[in-house]
Amino acid sequence: MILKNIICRLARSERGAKLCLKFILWVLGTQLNYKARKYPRFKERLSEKDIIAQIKLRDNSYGRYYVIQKGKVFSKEGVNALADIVISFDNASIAVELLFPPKNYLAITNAMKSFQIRAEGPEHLSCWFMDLISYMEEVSTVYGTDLGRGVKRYTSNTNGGPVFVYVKEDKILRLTPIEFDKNDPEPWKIEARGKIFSPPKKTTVAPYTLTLKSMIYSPHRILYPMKRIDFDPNGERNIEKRGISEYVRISWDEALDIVANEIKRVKKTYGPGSILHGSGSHHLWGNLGYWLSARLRFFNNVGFTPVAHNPDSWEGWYWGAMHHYGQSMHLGAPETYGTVEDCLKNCDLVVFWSSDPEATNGVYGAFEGTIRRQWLKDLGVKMVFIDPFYNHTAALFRGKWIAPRPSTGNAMALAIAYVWITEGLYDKEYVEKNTYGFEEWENYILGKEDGIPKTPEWQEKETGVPAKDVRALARLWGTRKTYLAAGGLVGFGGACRDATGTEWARSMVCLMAMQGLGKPGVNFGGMQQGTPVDTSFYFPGYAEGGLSGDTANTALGVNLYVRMPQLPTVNTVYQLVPRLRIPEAIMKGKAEGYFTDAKTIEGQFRKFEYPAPGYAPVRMYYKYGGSHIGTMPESNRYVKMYRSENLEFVVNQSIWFEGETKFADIILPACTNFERWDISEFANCGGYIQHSFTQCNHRVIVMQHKCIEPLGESRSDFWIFAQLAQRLGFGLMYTEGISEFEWCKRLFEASDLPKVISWKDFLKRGYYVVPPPKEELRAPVSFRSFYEGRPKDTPEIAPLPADYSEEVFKGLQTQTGKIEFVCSSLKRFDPNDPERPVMTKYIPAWEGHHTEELYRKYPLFLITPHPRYSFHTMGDGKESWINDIKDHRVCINGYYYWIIRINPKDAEKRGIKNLDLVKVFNDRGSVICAAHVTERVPPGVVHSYEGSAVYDPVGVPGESPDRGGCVNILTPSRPIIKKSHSMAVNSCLVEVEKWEEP
Amino acid sequence: MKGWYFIIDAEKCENCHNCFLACKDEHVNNDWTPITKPMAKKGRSWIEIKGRERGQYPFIDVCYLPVPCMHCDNAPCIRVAKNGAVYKRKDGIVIIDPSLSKEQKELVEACPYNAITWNEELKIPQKCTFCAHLLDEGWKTTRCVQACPTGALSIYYAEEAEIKEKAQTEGLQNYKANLNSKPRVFYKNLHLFTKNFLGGSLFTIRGGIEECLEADA
Ligand code: SF4
Ligand code: SF4
Repeated sequence: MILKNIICRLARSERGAKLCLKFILWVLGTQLNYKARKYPRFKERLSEKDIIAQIKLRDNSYGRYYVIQKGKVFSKEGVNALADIVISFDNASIAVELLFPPKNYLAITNAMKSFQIRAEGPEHLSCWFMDLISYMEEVSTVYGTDLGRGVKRYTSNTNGGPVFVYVKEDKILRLTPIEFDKNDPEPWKIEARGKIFSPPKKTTVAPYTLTLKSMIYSPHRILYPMKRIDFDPNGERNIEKRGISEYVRISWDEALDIVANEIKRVKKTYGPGSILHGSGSHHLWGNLGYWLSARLRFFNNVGFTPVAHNPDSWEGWYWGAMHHYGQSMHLGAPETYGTVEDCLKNCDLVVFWSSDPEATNGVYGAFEGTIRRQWLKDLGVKMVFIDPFYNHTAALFRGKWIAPRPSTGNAMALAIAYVWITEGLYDKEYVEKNTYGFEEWENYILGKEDGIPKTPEWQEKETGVPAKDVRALARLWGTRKTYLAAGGLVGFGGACRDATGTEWARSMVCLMAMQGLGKPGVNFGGMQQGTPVDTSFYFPGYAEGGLSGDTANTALGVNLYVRMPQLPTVNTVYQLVPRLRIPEAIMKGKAEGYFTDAKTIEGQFRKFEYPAPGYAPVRMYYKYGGSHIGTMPESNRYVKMYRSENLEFVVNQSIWFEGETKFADIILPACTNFERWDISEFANCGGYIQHSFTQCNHRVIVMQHKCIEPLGESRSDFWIFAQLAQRLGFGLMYTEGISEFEWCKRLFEASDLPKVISWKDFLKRGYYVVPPPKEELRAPVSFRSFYEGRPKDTPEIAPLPADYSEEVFKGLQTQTGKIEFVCSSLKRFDPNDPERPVMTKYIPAWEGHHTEELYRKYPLFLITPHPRYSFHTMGDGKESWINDIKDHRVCINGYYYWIIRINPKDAEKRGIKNLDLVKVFNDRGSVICAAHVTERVPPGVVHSYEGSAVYDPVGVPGESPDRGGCVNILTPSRPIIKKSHSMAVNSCLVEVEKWEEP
Repeated sequence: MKGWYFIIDAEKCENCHNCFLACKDEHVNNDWTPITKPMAKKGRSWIEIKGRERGQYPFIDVCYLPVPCMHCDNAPCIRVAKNGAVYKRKDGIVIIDPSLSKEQKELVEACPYNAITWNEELKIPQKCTFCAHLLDEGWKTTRCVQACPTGALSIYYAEEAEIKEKAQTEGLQNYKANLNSKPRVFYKNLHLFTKNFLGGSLFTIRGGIEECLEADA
């Protein structure tokens, strides 16, 4: 740095600058040759092309060119008219500033934006040359820990926790959780009720992480670019053969040319908006290679109709709960700072309501929360589990199980409120001071409004839960300091994804308001989030957009953009397709949705329509990953859509040949994050789950080493997009002339890491554990200041300043600043919406026991929660070891079937025995599963996870039973409420019968 | 002489299968000869999670029992094996020699705990090795123990007298102790798996309304 300062000072005068430039450019030539001599891999790269590269000043007053031939570089001063590519600078001092290490990325970005640096010549050559220069540092980098006998230990990160990766001869031997050593800091300690609690010095991993080796080396990996055998971009496309025909291997060049040409063709033929693109959100892990980074940078520069996501795992919290207490930045789920400590110290009872953190690992949180729940158990804190399924958290902690009929939980919630009101078991003072509209709701609960008191007996008819149990629960809860774990992370999955999910989630907030949310021992959470780790140490989460350049659709603008300046990217297409309506958009040419916009409560009131005025209809679909058939409702729709003539071209960029991949015309093989560079943190999403790393016992920031070379011809997403970008004229704009490795370094430098560890050490060790803060500096407990009437003091800029009605930080995000039993936002938006009244009411499910005709035909309630062993489709199928877990799939006659769980009484009625094959069906389709006959589901309920990665129709795709296990074929595509973009996959009526393989 | 033991808490096992997967991760595609050859790509792992449901909706209990090889001190498989294909190490670990055991399929049946698997491709019987290849390299733990998030699994290096005393004071038991094979795997809370379960709720009728007396099962 000092040297750089001297050089830059010298370069202030034109003469001095030229002198410096002369020196720098001379060194570059000798360095290229030196690296080639020393590193065979560099030599190999250098030998790929024979070109003449010119670096010069724009006025030709100085220059040096490099003749690269047969892996050698010969450089000479001067300007060569025959140069293949020319990199030019406006003047010598800029050139020196940009070229002399260490790089100043702000200066480089500024120069690029003001065209003070330019590249001329074929894009692919300038990209190649710049990449070569960037590679000079990477090639000489020493990384990982040498364990002797040819074994190296690298690090990587996954959506189920960080790992050590043992590698020998370019082959992964094993993946293990990270065990800290003496250099790592001591973990936090909490003293509670006479005991001291402190987590072990290691990380945990989720099952799908431990199966990654089988997935990396899966026979279902796509190793080469492929083309559907009967697809000809210049002739017959045979669209009806999608999902049926085989593929042939083609070269990367051919595949990339076809895709680039199709992009150009549809844009030119139809106009902007004709390219639809969407991704599954779980393409492994990493801040740079993940879906909100490399992918967006590419598509923004292409111009595309994005697939707009619904708040998929949050639904009821987002469309419902938010109106009562804000929390829009958390998609309507509550913040959870400091709750682990508060819960350990002060709470007497935890009610887990539709909450199974042992199955879903919160989200991305591996088993970090397990030990904390064990501490609660050791302290004798009572636990109650409300779930139609005797879930894994209930099984481990063995509390009381209450199983309401699916989609009726809100009736039980209202009856609890009834008991509290009639028996005086709630905090009247808190309700008086901190809430708004209680009396109106109280009238409804007591039946003064509609003549129906919401008694425990009334709810029994809806939920099937005995009135006495609900009364007992209400009394237990009303007399003890209680934490409510509603949802697996808090506000995640389960009941919020059913036909009454909005009303249920709303009631969860109302119940907590009655008990005094924020009082010591009274809060949201099931120990899954809210550890006392350091929230002030800056390292971005993946939703902060990485290298996307997109400040509109990621959280890049909040912190990372100023720390890691980069070329901004903007999608110019103001057209969206709601994810849940992709099939309708394609097949019927029409769709509408509401925004998932976390900035403010009112963000969700905005409606959008497809097609947008003046835009072209979608003609090409660029899909990234393959998961929709297993994860989206009524998914035969998606299958049929692929066979529509309206989709002229489908390309899928995917790691594995999964259920949805086989509907593409061209398949581009992406590699896993073990085969490329990346950088990230354990369970850090940022953005919509701000500070989500408080699920972890330690903040662990990980260098995702490139552990092995990409398998076959698979390549990183970054590489694939860069290659396409070259063909579309923005190659250098895409990479900014640097490699993935250098982007990692750039992100490292943008974080707080350089203050505590050098890049060299970080690369070598592979991880850094952020020391916990002093006890006095721990984040305060969420909602405590609200309860005490103080300004908000938890460490987040949420809500945004403008969203406070009075002073900033005073009160909540609602109009009154209070928890609202009657919602001001809904009064403003649509006070008469029968589906979402201004206060929460019991609205029977539109698919359930009140839809009598349907219920007679299909008398079983199917619930489809987030899966336990896989992460949605990740880890399922693909000959993953998870298939051999007998509670994930079962192997019958050599075929691995998805499981449906059924009560012995229902099974007996249908002549079904354990492990029989059954057909699960309704009017939407049918799925073949293996039956688990179990008491873990009550009579009348069947349980099967969503997230099958296998789609394997026995006949015509989209119209025949699926043997793969995509139970979402059966779930309704109707939104929870009309004025939303939501799904109700846990409200589904089916029938089950024995199935004989034909 | 000191040797290795497993101590497994049946109450803490949550059926997550991390142990099962970690064992696969260690052994599929990796050759740790002379301790063992690669595990078959598909099928069961060398630690199995047995499950048992007790009771009926709404009063049920579910218990899981992780079952690796018991590394018995009086091992039936050693007796049945030909050419000394199965042997006990000084540290108590029972090993099936991957070359001497070739074609000895009868070993699968010899184990009363069903801990021995048959590798059809290599034609050898295989089972849990207590990760002996790792312990020999200086590892402090086995792969399954390392991956277990709940602390249900642990290993213990001790004299026989020590483990006996520990078993006594902590109520540790062998699974199927009546087989007399002297397993080196000791279980805590084994009763959850082997005994019956009684659940219910107490209520009374007060003023014509059913009222619970105690909210617990
Ligand atoms: S000790 Fe090793 S070999 Fe035995 S079950 Fe555990 S991981 Fe498998
Ligand atoms: S890893 Fe532990 S908790 Fe999980 S199944 Fe194995 S023994 Fe049970």
